[in-house]
Amino acid sequence: MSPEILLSLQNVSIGPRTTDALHSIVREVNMTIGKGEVVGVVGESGSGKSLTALAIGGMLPASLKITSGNMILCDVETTELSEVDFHKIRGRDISYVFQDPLNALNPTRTIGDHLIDVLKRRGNVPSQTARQKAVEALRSVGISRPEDRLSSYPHQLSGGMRQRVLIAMALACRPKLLIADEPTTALDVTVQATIIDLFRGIREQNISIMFISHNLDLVLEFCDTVVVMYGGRLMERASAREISQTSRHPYTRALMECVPRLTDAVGELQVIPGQPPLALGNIDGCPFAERCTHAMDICRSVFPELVASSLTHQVACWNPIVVKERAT
Amino acid sequence: MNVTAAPSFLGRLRTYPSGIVGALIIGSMVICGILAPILPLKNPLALDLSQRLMPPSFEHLLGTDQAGRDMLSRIVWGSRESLVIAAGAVSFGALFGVTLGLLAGYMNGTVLEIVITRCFDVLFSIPLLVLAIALMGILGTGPTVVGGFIIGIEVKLIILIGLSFTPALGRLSYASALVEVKSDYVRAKRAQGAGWAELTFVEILPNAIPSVIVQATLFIGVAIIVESSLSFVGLGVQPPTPSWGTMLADARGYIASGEWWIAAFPGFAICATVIGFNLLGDVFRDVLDPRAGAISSFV
Repeated sequence: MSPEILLSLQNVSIGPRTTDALHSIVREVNMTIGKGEVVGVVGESGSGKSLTALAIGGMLPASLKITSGNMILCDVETTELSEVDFHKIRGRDISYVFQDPLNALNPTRTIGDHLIDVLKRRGNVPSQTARQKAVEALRSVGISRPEDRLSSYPHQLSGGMRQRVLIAMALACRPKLLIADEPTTALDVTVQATIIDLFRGIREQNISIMFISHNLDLVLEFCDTVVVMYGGRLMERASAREISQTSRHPYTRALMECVPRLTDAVGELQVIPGQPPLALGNIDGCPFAERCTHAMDICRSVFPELVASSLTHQVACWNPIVVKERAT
Repeated sequence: MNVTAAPSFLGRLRTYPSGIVGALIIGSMVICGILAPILPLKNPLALDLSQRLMPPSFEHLLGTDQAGRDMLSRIVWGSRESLVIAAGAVSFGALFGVTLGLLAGYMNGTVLEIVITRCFDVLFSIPLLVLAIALMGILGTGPTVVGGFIIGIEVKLIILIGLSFTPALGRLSYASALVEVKSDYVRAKRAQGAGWAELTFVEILPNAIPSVIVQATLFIGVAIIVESSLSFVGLGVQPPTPSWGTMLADARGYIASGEWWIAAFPGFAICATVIGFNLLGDVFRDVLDPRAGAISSFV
């Protein structure tokens, strides 16, 4: 299955504006997102997943830039686009939902103002129908009494409801790609579940989703393809099924073992020993080598190529775990 | 959870007694000023030398000045000059200052930011009264003709005093914009395709404006004092037009000789207006925040 490609990152590196590609924070990331595909990006804090997501929409902080590689969105090269051109893409082709819904709405403006802004900007909607469409948008994300909510201020809504409003805003302009940067991290668990249900509904609408999360279980359950990042590098990319059953990168394996299972015997929680690298960009080898139980000498000096082990499964590791194919 | 709309602006203002006092003082000043032509007042310019330096009486409630003009009438008519110049100057300063300050804050890290903030610094370094006296001395107190437009003394005072308020109000909004431009909601809006103009004036402005409004109401008091000071030294509103400053200036020769009412009532009017605006400014800070009514609306 190879769906039509919506977004493709080819060897994209992100680094400070002042230095060359060797000092990049995110290095040589390859990724594609197909139309209607849900791609999960997993990694620890500082693994470069959020920066990659920001780069796709041209939202990098002013001090950072894409130092090398190509980024192609809807068959258009977007690597070198100016802020003005990105402005046309954001909110039409790409939309974002960020981590912290508590601060992502302007405290001085009503929910209706927020939604109607988005609708008017992208849809050429006259004022009367914009209001009606805003009500529909709120209803579609499961907000009760949407007519009344239009005149509410953000502080009058709970965190989960604010995230729903933000999702409604992100979807109001019918984007092709929705980038959700840890959309459930700031919410409590029961609310998380309802937000994930909402994302399942978005999937049905044939909108591609890039879903960034710390939560490997959630990603495996919800996404088609999973990308594992560590220390600014892409470690492994595979379908969710392959990651959960036949993952080959030692880091992915270590991550999976950290997830506590209800069926596990009571005991100590599994952890990955050591710390993630702090000074990024100075490591030529694999950033995980220091913590890896499978590390070899070459791991510390050269970063391995991304090697395909099946049509949908690629691993960047010198010494991947050998998996016996299970009959399925 | 029962979400009710936050109480209206006036509804919240009611819960602050000092705000009511301030609003009453300013409100009555403004109403008297607007209604001056139809109030049963004596002509503020009519000289009546037989009635000069009369103490307050039933005929002249606040007495008469050295030319026999009715003090009450002159104070009411003078409030028009003082309030219009003060409000105009602060609006002018706020318009310029806030626009430039927000732009500088939004364009954080660019040359534009440096240019704007340095201009603020230069203006800020010149003392207000010295600048005003120097410029009025150069421009003169008569009407100036600029490209076919006759610029009267009031407009000159508005621009001059307004200009000196620009850096303070500009820095205030610049500081707010610096904070807000990095906030999550600005980033979220930007991610949904909002451009710089919308981000600056639709998203950031409402969050920066409460502190500016508080400062601006305080500045109205300052503007009244500056206008009075300029009029006092003869560089402001010109006689015979009544203004509180010129009235005080006229009165200074009579303070020692016992005609206290000529100086006291214009001075009292200035004090009351400044205090009124200060009280109002304090309350605005609390009232203008839509989050302020949050707790009561949940109970």
